[in-house]
Amino acid sequence: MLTENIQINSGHSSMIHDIKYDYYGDKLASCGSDGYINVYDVSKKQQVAQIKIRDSPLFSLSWSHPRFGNVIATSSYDGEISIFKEQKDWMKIACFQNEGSVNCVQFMPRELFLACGTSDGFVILLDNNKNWDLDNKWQAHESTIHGLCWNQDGSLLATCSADKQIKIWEFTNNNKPQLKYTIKSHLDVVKDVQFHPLENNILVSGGDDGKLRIHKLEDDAVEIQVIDYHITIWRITFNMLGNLLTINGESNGQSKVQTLKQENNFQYGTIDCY
Amino acid sequence: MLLKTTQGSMSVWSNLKSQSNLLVTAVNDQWGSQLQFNSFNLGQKNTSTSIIGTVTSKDAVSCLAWENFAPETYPMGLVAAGTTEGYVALYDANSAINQEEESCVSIIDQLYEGPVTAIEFNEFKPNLIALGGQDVLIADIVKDIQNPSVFGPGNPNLHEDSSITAVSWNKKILHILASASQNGLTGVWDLRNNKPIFSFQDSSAVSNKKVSLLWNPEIPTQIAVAYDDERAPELQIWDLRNPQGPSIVFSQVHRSGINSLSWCPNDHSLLLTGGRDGQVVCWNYKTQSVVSQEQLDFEIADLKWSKRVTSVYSISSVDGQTSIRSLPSGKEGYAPKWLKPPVGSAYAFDQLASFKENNSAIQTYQIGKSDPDNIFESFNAFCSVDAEQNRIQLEMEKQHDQQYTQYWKLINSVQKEDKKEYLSTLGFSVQEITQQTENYTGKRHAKKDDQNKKKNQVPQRPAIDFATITDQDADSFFNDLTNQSLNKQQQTNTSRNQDVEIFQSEQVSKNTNWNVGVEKIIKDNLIVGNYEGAIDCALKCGRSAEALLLAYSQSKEIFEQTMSTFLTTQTDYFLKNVLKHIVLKHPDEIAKNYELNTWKECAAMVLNSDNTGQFHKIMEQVGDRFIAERKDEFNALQCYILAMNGEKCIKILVNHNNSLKELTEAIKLLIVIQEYSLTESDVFDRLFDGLILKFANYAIQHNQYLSAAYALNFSSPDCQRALELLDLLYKGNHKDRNIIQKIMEKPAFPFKYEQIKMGIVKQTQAQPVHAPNQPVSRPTRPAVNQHQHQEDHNVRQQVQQNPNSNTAAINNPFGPNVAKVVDDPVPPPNRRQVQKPAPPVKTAPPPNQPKKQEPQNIQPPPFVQEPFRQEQQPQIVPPTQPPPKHHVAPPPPPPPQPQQIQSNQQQTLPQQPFQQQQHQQQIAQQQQWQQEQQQQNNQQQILNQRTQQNAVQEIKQQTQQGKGVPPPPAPQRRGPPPPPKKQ
Repeated sequence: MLTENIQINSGHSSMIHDIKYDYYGDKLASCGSDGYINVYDVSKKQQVAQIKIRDSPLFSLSWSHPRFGNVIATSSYDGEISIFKEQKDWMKIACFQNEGSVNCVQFMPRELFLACGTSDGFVILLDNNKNWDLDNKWQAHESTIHGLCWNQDGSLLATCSADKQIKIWEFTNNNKPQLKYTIKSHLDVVKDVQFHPLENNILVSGGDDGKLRIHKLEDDAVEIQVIDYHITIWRITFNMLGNLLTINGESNGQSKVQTLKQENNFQYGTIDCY
Repeated sequence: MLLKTTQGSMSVWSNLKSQSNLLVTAVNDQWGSQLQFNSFNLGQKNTSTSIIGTVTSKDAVSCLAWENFAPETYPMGLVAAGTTEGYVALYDANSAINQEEESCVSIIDQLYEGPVTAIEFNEFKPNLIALGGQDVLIADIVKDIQNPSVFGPGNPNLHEDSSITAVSWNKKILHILASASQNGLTGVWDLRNNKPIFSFQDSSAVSNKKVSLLWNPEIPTQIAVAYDDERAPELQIWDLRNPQGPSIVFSQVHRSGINSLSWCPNDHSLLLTGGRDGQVVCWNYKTQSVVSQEQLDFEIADLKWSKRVTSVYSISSVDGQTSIRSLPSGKEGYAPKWLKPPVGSAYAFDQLASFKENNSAIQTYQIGKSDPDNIFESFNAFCSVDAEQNRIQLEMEKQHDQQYTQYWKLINSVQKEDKKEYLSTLGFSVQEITQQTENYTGKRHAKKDDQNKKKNQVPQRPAIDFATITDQDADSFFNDLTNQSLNKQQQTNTSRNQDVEIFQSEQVSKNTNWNVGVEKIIKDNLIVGNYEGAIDCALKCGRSAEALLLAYSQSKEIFEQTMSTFLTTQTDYFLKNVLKHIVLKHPDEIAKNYELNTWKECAAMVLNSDNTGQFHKIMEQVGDRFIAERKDEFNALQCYILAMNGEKCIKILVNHNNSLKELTEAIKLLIVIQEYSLTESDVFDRLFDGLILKFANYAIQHNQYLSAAYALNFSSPDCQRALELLDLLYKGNHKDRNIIQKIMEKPAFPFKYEQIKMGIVKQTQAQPVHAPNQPVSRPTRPAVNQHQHQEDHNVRQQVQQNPNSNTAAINNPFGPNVAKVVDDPVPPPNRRQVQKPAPPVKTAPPPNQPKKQEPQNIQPPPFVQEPFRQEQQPQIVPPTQPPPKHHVAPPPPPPPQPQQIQSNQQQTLPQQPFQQQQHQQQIAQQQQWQQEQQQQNNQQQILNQRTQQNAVQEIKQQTQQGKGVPPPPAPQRRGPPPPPKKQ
């Protein structure tokens, strides 16, 4: 089903840590240890921007919804969260300095409302409507937050951490997050957590215990499937409608990427490994 | 960063996944020692650990180890404590934590006369415990934990009489052990052959110094050695493949002897050393740099990375305090491995991009289309046909399940609005019936235009597939039906009930003598002119024809009364329920009472009756009866198709979409039914949108974007999700984009544009940088500046003219369309009420202030430039020969810096001239940006207005076209199309 297509030269001088397509799939942005965000135009097959952000590794980036134009948020190991907008060039719109590493960022779908997870277990929320002032910051986990994800309607934010827990925060009208679920089924560091792109209550997670877990959030968080992947799961990616799921794992320098296909009731089965 | 504090002069971490926050410390005092099991919770504010278990030893503990061993017996593993009295005690961690009385499972004694100085479990075979004291010993507890076998690593003893200070098992090869002694000698043992295989010694080492030693967890030929040496407090990494000298030497950071060493289990690049000078240094041996350096106010006796909690380590002081700390995060250049995702991927439509560690190329993958049973191909063919009639024709010609064939035939007849089509679809051939009638009566009934057609055709009853019904069911059904109809008549015809009863009781008389019996009474009535009496008599005696003739000769009123009485009194089901209503012109009554199994006859008859205006209504009623009485959706749907009732059709079809095939058939039917439906219904729209979205999701999942776009085109204009998907499919980068853009009008952007605000921007490092390979058309930087000045001017002008106007309200990211719209001669729209302009940039640095530049940051720490000590004097001691101590020249130093830095500098160089103007430029950029926003705002207003205009135009077109064929392929339902493309 998957066939190899072109290779894109990312232009990074060291490790890449995150890649994201924009809303229409025209541009692929990447960030890495060299502190650059590089933007590649997929249709034109050429790199269109190379933005020096920091002298520190960038772990994560997020595109905004296109109703705000082309906006990218990123965060660095030295703790800067920055937001760039494409004008004639990419221009820095706002930034926030955290004391420690900020490991993950994601815009709420359709909003310029940015959630960030830090190495000391805090979640930071920045809001365009407050001129990017700090909206909220709270200790969500005991230790490093490795991943976070909004659900599609922006009502829930999931965070996962080195404290082996996943927490799901509910945003009610007053925008004050309330802890709604705590998932403790992982035996080791949880590296990534992703909501299903269509289903607001389906959540997948993976981490150092090598298990991919699929949860359904109802009255409680119910685990509906466990896939033993054996090696550390670093990143989980859904496709547009969530019928494909790619697991990115790595162990001792050997990476293993596997794509799963959705079957009934959000159960996933293997189709491709490379 | 300090996290927790506790007591203890040494510590060891748990290796259990589930108990990673557990730490054993040894607290020594004059009476002996206590092992404390510390648990901690980083989330809690208190700074001390909680002691969850203790073990008391009568002698002071001199070294500690903890490993998982025989988990069924010891679920939390064994803690081994070497003592100053030369024995080792093994404790069951689980019973210690549960405070059971005897947690000591074994004492291995008579090992050394002096203290046990080093102890380590073999990770592969934890039954093997390496020990250091006067010499190296290995205890094997596999057979009998209480009486383990103890043996030496081999002969000769490399360390001679020097005391052992460290032992370490190789982390990859299980039978390789290394040991270090106070004389500075490091030896490597092969336990399979029981002999030493390698040794080296630092000639500068003097006796009575502690040497720490650890194997590289990643590269099995490398050993790290650290010396508690005042003069040369060094960390060295030796590679056995290159025995001339240490491969890497870290020096000049610790000011005093290094007496503790720990190799990070979670990032093998990192080593931690602690010294008598109170410094804790984290080294990256791969980049040969210091990652962090912390000065504490006590002499460090022991430190250990946590085995499972990333970035956390424990430090014990010589005066018996232990603290749990974490590596400061984010301050230094090197990010530890546990934070750096080495792999990742991203999806866009039918593309997957994926990166892997150590590869700067991003591999993309194409995900192929799939088309089970050619469903999407045929759906596309269906949608690409330009008229409803052709679509119907296409479907009729196709091989379908019988039910769909029937539906399409019915739709075809509805579309043609031709009675004969209807009848033949219903299964009646006008020709055949006419033929049969002619054969019977010998008289021609066919209309002229039919006469030329085949005459000698064998009469044949057309096969109709009716739903089967068991005899029993049928029987009870008819009983029910009869009762129902009787009840109804009783309600409506109570006035005539009496007559009915009278008439029903009589037998039909067929007397030919009009002078006797009832015939005489009739005749007499006629003679006296009592026609009504005569009629009643005639009816009662079964002379229906005479009665009707008589009534006909009288008034219309009498005739109708007579006819009604006649029909009501019939016991023949057909006469009573069908013929009656045909004659009485009450087709709806037929529908109510007609036998459902032969509903098609009913339909045909209603069609033939004059009252065809009620046809749709009647078919709807028949359909309702199928649902209510039989739950027969197949027949009901046929009725509803004839009824041209879209809402009722979709309510049935919506239940039949479990498979993609069913769903597709339903969508195709509904696309056509939607055109002919007589009912405007929100319910229909809502249900149809739901089906369309479901189909579009299926299509997108199969990467059939064209099919998805086709289907979404038929959704109602107030279905936001459909609008969003259509926009996504129209503009999105996938294989079908070109064809979709060719055949469809560009949908309006289904979201509200919104402005991004300026926040506080500290321009400390980041710079917008041009693309390395700019498109040719892109203006050079001076040109941009000029351009900006002009635009600046424009902005000011505009602001003066229109002080209330928005500076930046709406931001259209789709630049290329902008010019097109602006060129259109559309009058300027009403100004929208807008938000305040963006706040100014607060913190652009003054131009004269020197910026922190990358080169400065890239500058390596001073020690890196001197990675090798020139006066290095390592000595190689071949294990089997007496040591002919010779000096070995150090290997040539590696290039001082990787080339990467040069390239970084190159990248930053072209920025230099432009950075001076940075402040001005930023302001200019912002103004330009605001102006763009304003332009886009105007464009959006224009677009809005145009959309409205188009909507009006569209409505006009629709009214002109009436119910005719809609313009392909965009259906009428879809919202207003965008302005026509300008040539």
